[in-house]
Amino acid sequence: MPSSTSSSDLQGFERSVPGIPWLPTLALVASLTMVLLVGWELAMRNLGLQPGDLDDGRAYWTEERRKLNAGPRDPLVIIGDSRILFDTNLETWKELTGRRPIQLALMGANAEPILHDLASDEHFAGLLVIGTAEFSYFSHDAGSMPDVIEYMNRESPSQRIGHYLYRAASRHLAFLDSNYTLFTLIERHPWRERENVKGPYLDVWKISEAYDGRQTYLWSRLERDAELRRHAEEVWVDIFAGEAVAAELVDEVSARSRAAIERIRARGGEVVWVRPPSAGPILATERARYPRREVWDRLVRDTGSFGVHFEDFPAMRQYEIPDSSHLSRASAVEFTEAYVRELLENVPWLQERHGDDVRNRKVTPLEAHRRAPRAP
Amino acid sequence: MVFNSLTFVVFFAIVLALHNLPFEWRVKKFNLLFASYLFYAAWNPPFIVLLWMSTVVDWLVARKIHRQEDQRRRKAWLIVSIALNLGFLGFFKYWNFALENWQAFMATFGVDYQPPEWNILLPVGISFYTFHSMSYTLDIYWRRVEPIPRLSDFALFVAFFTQLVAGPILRTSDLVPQLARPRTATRDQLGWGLALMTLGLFEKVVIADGALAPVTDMVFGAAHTVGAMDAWLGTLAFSGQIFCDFAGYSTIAIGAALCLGFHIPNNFRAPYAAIGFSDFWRQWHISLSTWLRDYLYIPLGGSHKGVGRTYVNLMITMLLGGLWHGANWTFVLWGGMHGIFLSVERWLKGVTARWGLPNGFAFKLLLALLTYVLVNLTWVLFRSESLASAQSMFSAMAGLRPGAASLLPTVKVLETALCIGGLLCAHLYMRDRQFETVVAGAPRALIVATWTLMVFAVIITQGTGDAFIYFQF
Repeated sequence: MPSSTSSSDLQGFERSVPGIPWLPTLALVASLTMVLLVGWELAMRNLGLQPGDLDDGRAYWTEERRKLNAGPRDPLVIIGDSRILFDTNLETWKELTGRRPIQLALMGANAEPILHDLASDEHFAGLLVIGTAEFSYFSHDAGSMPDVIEYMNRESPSQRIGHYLYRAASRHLAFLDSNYTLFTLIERHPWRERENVKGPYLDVWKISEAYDGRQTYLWSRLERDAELRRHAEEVWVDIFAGEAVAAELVDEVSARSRAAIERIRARGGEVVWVRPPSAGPILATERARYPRREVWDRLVRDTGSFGVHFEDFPAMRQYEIPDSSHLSRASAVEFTEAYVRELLENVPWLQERHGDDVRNRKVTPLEAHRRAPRAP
Repeated sequence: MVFNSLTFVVFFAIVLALHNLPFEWRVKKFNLLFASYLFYAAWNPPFIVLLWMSTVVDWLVARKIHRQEDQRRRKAWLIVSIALNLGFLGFFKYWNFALENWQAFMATFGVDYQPPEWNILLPVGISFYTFHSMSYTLDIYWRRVEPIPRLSDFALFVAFFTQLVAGPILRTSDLVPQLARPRTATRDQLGWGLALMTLGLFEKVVIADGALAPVTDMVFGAAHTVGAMDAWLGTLAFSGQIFCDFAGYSTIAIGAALCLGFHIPNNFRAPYAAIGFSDFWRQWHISLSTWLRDYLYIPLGGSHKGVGRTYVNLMITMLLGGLWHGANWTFVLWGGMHGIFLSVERWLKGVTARWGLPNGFAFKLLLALLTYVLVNLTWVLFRSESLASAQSMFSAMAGLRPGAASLLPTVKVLETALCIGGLLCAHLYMRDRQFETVVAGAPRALIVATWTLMVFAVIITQGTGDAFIYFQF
């Protein structure tokens, strides 16, 4: 925009200032903005957003990933996609094993690049739990945050400080949520679309809430709001649709995974697989596209790892899955207890490090649920 | 750090507070210098060494040039400065590009040359501070300015955080005289500075990142499959994105400096209301176009060495100007297109001088729209990641892909139409007006409402963009 400048002989430019009382105007603007923000904050809380929900992202992931290098060589680490992320209660893990895992699963992520990153990290010799939705893992695509490792390697000091400031603000302000920005809200209107165009209405909306240490759950409003559940399920059906997975892709992924796992084992680490529950039309699609025998069983067998598949345990089929893809918060606690106990029973690496006294410690799901961190 | 971040909000509040404490001017300047280095190091601390080297060498060389009477020695010292500055720039920005082209060149002779892999990171803003610093030694060489006595003043001139990484590219005479005496903003300057910062943030966060960047990314990411309408919408969106991104940065820089009591010249006016390309370059990235004019075009001879040489000088200037923007042939061709348009315009002006062309509003509007359309064609090259991708976009825009499926959702079409329509109207309205005059004449209620809504929109948009487009240059 044009703006006037005038030269003065020794002092360089002198910009002119429009002749209105700027400080009183500024005070008025600040007051009105504050009123609008309070209104916006109340509106967002009314929609189910909560202060303390930390709006998980790559900076939070990086913070957790760095703990691996700073801590002992044999940590418990979880990688995978949104299912293992939402369906795992980290406190339950701690109650059962004495240690809280580092949560490195990411929404919409293919865990394979992260597996290779950890396989290349000579410092890592821990237990790696890979949560697998076949759709995410058997894919040529790195998923929704393909640059997370690059971000970690190049995170600038200002980005890190910005992350800490944003987190501090998020503890008090509900509206600081990337799923509820101005343009996201505009795009959620069901506009009439041009022919053959898939609009942002069918994008993934807010489905999670996250707390310290990346303890993440399915968004509590989703458990209550039938319309949101319907939308989420519609989106999953759309995303998961497709042809049956190619045998070559299964071969390639299994071979690459085996090689990475062998590197971890060579250092004294171990890797296990977990297949969290899904239901309804999503599970039907998954069964059709990724037949268990050719995909899951093959992966577990080829990698020589122990695996927990929810369909092998009748109790795990009974959980509440509001959007057919992720467990409710209460079910996540129960599922965590169930699969961790299976791991304790069957994985020597875990048994060696967590003796009977810890393994047999009884924690009821409800007790763990009560202890789990939640929004203030 | 980027202007649109919480880190900068905290940083700037501290700098502003320190600057208004009753310290000596010498201490305040030191604070600003320290803050500027902190601002730069917040990206990648080791690169600050480059900035220091460039600063110290140019300051010392400028003194040598000034004291030296022997013209050959003066020139030798100048070459030292230029070699150092362009050497850094060349290595960090163009080394990989040179290797790739050498590899391709050798391949034409059947030689399979495999260059070693260099993982070179581009220091943020190196193109800006290199030009910034080099202009000083060149001005000293041409005896346009006196040497700056204090290294700390020169260091602050080079590193002043408001324009360090993305301009405006300041000249010695723009800032150094302002360092001579204590400066703090008056209350009105502070308020107006904050208003300018809000406007810049609104342009960047809401329009560039929020509304237009997703459209641009979608269309240019699918350059090989889009149809004519989507290709044009994507290109128009990019025209708005790059203006709001870059002019937004400059406006924030000007506002931030004003809050501290410093006056920085404009970098943009109303370029999309320009009539012709020479007019466009008087209104777009003014500090770069004048830099290229004063330190490249005129030293090459400008328009004083004959008609043919003038066109050659224009083309050299614009091709190098294009290359300055990035290590890619797309940028070189972008500069080349601007050079051709400028040359054609110059020729047409000579041919049509006696034709008595109409001078009414409608004719000017037609020319302005024609200029805008042609500028958009050049933006295709600027935004495309490769020449093949640019070629695909041009094909799509020319309607050579009739069966292509639609791409952009309705909401994105509406956002683009609204933003670009608004931007063009604003530029046409502001073409012959001063921004300050327009604001001064506006009802106060309108100013308060606009300012409030801009702040509110910036906050609730929560931009996710980590950088301004021009940081990469």
